[in-house]
Amino acid sequence: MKMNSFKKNYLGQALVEMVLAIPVLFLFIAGIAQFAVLFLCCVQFEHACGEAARQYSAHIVEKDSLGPAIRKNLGYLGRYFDLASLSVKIQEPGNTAAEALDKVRKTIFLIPFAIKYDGSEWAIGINARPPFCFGPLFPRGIPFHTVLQVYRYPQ
Amino acid sequence: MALKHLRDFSHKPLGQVLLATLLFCFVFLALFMGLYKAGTAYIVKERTRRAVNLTALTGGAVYANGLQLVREANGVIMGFAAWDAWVVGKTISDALLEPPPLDITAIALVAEEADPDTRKPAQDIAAKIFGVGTPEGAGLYPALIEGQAMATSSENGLSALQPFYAYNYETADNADVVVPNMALRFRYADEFLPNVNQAPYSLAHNGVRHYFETDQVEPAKNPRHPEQMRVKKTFDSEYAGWWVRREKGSEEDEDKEGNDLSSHNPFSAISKIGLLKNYLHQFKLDITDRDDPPCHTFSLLGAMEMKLGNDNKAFYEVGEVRLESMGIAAWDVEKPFQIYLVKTNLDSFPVLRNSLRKLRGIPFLNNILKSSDLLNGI
Repeated sequence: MKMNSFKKNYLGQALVEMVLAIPVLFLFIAGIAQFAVLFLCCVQFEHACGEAARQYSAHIVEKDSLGPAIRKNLGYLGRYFDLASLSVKIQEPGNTAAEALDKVRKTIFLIPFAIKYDGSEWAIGINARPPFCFGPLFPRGIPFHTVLQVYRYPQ
Repeated sequence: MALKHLRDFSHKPLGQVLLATLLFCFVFLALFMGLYKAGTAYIVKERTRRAVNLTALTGGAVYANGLQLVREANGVIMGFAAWDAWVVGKTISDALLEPPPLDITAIALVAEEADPDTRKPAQDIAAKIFGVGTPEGAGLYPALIEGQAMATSSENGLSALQPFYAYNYETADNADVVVPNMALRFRYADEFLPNVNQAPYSLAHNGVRHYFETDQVEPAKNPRHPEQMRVKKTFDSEYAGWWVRREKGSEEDEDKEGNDLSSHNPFSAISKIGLLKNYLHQFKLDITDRDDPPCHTFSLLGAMEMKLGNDNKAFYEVGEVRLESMGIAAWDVEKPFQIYLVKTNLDSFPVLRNSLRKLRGIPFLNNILKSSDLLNGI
């Protein structure tokens, strides 16, 4: 009896609307937050890769040990990544000009004492593990991928 | 009619709910779109910054390799110079032993005629390879710096057309900035003689030394070299902002050390060494830095393009590396190089410096310049 009168009341209508709207609103807000976290993760990943390459160029890490440096540089956002999925692949330059120059450089390298600078190109991939909402949508994580190249001069 | 139906519908609870839902969806869609665009732009900006820095470091590595090759080339040149000196010395000693005794002018003439100048071919080849004394022409090796930097910038995703490279822009004349060069020149024999100090600080550019008083310099604010001084940026000189070297035996040093170094200097009197310096200036020797303190920087302005909605946006970033060589003479061949990224100081570029000085006079533009993303830090 009481319930029926309450339903007829505008206050009751507003409450029902609110109850229906709040989960949707929450989902929207959570979605925005998730997006923001994903973008932050992507930027942090790009930054971590760049920082690792800079450390390589400063002789802090070696060509084949970029992975641990990237993991370290992910910082507190590392929790949003599947660190085991990190793949660092040393590859040949991808465009014709760079390829040609690399061949020239390697040829000149045969002349002792002429060209001592050396470097590499890496293709780096990792899966981001998004927090609560995107988890069921992307059970394997969201893949991030980047390519970067740098050269260094021996110390 | 249709509008009337719509208005009536909107007065009903169902219509109101639908309208509110539409508005709600629109607001969130706009929020999502904004977030997506901002996030994507943020990622591209970070990629651009990274690409520019890695390209600058690559340029720096190739540049350092070039300076090492200069040291090795200097070894060859100085070898020839030593042979030339031996020939000249032997001729002079022979001439001195023969009667009648020669006066100083005659000895100078004998030395000049006796100089076989076997170092010249080596100097000419080195000049072509390293582009000594630009802007007469870019050398082969500086072209390699540019080529390698371009290849790396392309690999790192920078726009193929945009990268603008600047070489040693802090101390370069306007034309030299864009011509690939390594800020090199030839040293002459007179430069081995000490200078007579005219002021406590000095810098050399293209072999000419300029002196500055204590009130004309300020700290260079360089975290790696906290005691480094530079010419005051506000000082009305074309060298404003350039690094200076503290002169040994300056008055301040004399006060500190309590002795008069210049009085112990056998070459302290200009009259005594002026003629000798003039005479020795005709003997070209090895390759050295164009500037003192040396300035070896490699900078680039790079852009990365992305599609935001229907528009193509380009994100610009500036990267710069500084090389510290601790000398490029033949005897410095074992010394290491320091290559590090520095916060770009665009207003050190002479043309920009002069323009910015004028713009800073206008308060409105000054605010824009200070808050500009590209000119950050000026």
